[in-house]
Amino acid sequence: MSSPTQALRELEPILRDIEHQRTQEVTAFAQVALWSVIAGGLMSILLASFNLGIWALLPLSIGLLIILVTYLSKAHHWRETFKWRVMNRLVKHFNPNLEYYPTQYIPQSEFRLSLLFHNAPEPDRYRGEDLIMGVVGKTDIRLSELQVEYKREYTNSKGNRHSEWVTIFRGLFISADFHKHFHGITLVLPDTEESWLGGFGRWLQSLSAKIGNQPGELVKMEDPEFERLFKVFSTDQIEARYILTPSMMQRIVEFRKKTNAPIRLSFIASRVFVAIPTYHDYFEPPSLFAPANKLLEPATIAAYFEELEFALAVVEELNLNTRIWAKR
Amino acid sequence: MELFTGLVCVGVGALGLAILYALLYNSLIGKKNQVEYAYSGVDVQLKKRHDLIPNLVATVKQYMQHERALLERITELRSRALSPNLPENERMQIEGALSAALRNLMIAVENYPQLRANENFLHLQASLNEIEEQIAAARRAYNAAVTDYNNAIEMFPTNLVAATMGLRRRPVFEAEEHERATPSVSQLFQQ
Repeated sequence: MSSPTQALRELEPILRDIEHQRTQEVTAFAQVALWSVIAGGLMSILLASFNLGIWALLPLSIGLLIILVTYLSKAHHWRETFKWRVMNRLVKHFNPNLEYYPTQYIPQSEFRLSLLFHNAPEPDRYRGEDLIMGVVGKTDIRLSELQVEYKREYTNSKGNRHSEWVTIFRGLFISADFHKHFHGITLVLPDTEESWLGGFGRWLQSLSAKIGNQPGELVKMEDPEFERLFKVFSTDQIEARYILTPSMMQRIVEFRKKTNAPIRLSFIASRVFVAIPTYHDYFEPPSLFAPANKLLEPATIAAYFEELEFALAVVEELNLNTRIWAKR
Repeated sequence: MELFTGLVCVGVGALGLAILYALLYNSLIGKKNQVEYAYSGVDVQLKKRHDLIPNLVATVKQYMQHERALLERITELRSRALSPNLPENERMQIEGALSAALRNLMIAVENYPQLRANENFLHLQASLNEIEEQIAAARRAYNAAVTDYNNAIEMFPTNLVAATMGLRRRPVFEAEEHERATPSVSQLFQQ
């Protein structure tokens, strides 16, 4: 692993090159924009003298449309260039054992297997990007950004049918090898009932496990801070405690504080799945119109390193590299 | 007619009470069995540890000439824990002492680099760590079950039913005095 400054030094030729490309693209875009406005505007003024009313604005509108399309294609191209040429290498600098695939993501089968959102409706739209995978220390890890939605259809008071996309999950999804063997299923979900309904909320949770809404049964943990933030369901009471040792519970509480989001964890088939909901879009280039040489600033590169650190923090935070048990 | 209505009321009331009693009775039996089940979980792990110890002692004996006393103590504690008809609390005390002795052994191992290079020993050490982790988990599961059971016995209205069934509070596992004390580094060096 090299530092951001080292990475910057080694990547400088590439960064200069794509910075040059970006300036060219921006100049090209500016020319297109200028000519579209001038040509469209002049024709509109000309047409206005023929008393065509609103139609006189048509050429100007076409001009604006051309600007929009050009911008979108340039921005897309810039993003692709950045991800394939810069982010790719930054990931390698961050940790040589990691691979980066900008357009790939965690497959839906794995998302389903994690059971983290098993009570949500079946997703109708499943998208993602920025797959990072590899081995950190002794831990095999895969993560990507995901956006999972379902389509909700409803009829409003006037009898019109509407539909809207409802987000099931948006954020970072991580799948990592856990450092202990286990056979059952253990879910750690944000506690929404007990925090304001107290004992009654806990009773509701145990009921929801009994009627098959959750796998196994409710597991009551002894760490009060952990219990306040999470509810645990497991098919095996002892195994749940084997996984969630007192120190592991503290680590999860710390990780929850650090991410500052209602994280979910599941422990299935000797792997841990973590969903961190976030609206931040990770591993994206600076804007196409960013100030000159923004990419060459140490702060920009350091920010990408921070994003990578955050995404991969689960290995350190959950101590996944400690292998002193039967699983080596 | 009035007598009939009265009888029906009493009958319905009695039936309601009987059903309530049955429900509470069953929930208490469920909790009691949960405690026993959790206890057997601890038992299974302790047995695994007993099975591991002879192998472990045999492996380290040839390397650790200066720890004979400790090894003998471990072997002795193991055979005492295995003796039949041991009262529950005495058995738990012996197991606690055994845990402490094994921990001391693992600290003493640090002085024997040859041992730490032995593949067989490393495997046994990982197994022991695994079992200790499982014992800790099983104990916590047991404590959770006992707390649930004790709450039911002392809380209204289950306490009334529990009294008729003769159910008593059960003790939870507590960390032994020496387990709770913070280890002092100077003491560790003197060993």
